[in-house]
Amino acid sequence: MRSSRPLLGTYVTVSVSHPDAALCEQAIAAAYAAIGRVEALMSAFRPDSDLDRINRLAHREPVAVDSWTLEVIRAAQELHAASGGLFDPGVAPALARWAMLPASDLDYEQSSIANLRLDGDRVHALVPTRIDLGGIAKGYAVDRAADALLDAGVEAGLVNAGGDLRVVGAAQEPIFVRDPGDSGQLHFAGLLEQGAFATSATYYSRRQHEGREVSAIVDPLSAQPLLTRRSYSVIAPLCLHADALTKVLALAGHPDLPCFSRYDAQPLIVPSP
Amino acid sequence: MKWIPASALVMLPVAALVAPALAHARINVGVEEAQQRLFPGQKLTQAPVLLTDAQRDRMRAASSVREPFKGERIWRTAQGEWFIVDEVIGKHEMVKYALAIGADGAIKGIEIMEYVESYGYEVGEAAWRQQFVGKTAEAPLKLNQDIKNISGATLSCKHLTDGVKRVMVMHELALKSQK
Repeated sequence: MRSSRPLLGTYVTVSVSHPDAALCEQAIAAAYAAIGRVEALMSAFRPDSDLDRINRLAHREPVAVDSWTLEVIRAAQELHAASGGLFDPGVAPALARWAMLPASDLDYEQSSIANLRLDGDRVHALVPTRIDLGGIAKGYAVDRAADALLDAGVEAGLVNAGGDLRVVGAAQEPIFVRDPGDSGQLHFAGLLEQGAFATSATYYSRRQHEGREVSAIVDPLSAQPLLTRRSYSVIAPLCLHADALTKVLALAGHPDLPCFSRYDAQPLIVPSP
Repeated sequence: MKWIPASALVMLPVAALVAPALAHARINVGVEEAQQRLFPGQKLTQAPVLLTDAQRDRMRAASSVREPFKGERIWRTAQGEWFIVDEVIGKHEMVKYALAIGADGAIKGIEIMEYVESYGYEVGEAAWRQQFVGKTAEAPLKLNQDIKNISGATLSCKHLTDGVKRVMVMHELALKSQK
């Protein structure tokens, strides 16, 4: 059974297999509910989401957030440290300057995920910090949806959020990647079982802004946009890690990074023709 | 985790052989859900509009969209913002979408409500739709001018862009004066 819905700024497809159709329907509904919850907590476009309150208030007072938000921030901080700073959701101010995120009147000069301190369920920022979890929360949402499928008892399942996907249960899924030179063209990448696959590239987000080219992938060290024409995929057990590590791979530009083995991840770079 | 990589990745284009995971997807979002996505938490009231033949002619001339525009699928918020549902042909099938226009006459957002084609789902990608945000009826709203094409989804991109142009002209002619 397969179903598709617009969520997370893309289309999410959930497919499950089990002889019991009612179980399949319940599993799919639970998966969408999990994704909806992640979106409500961590979307950059929802006023008063956990993310929005952290960005507006956490430098003034500790902000209480949901346990799921805490989990993503903790993972993001760990990835930030493991990647030597290449993964940093604190690049949101650059995205806002390029009109990819809503503008803000706060001044975020030293924005970095490393500024956040966690205390119980509360988040405090040492200096004004604007984070965008777009580079990790989609993967996390896929993981929570995949967990929901397993909890519901499906035999096999797939959650695919615009190319960030996870395969659970007894299925072996053929995985395709878009040709970075022609995103309508697909290439067979391999077969995946009980794991996640995520891709980052700039083919959809590249655009002109005030006379220069920008993209949604930002180098946190230079605050400059990534403009290569290649695409960067990562295979890992969890989609949260796969999603975040695609940015690390893209910014490093080569696959020899110690943090990949730490997350049991495999990089895949597709060159443009 | 088990990963079996394809041996010669770049040598093996499969677009024609294997439908991608998205190929069987089917988008179906109701009016209320689309309203909630574009105007979260706001109350909208239906505000149908009757268009004169002269207005319809100008809409057609500006956009080259020939399908009739249905004036009853219009809603507004208390702040004078508009929510308009429209349909255009995609490649073979109709694509239904909703456009949100702010009180300043600029596009606030666009949501795809129904999409049943096998290909071209990329028009639903947030990055593509984001290109429309902030544009007014004065913008060209032309594919490959101010709206970037997605290769593989050209017809859907073109027709949706034309559709948005038409709705913006309609807004200019018939809605903007209603305060």
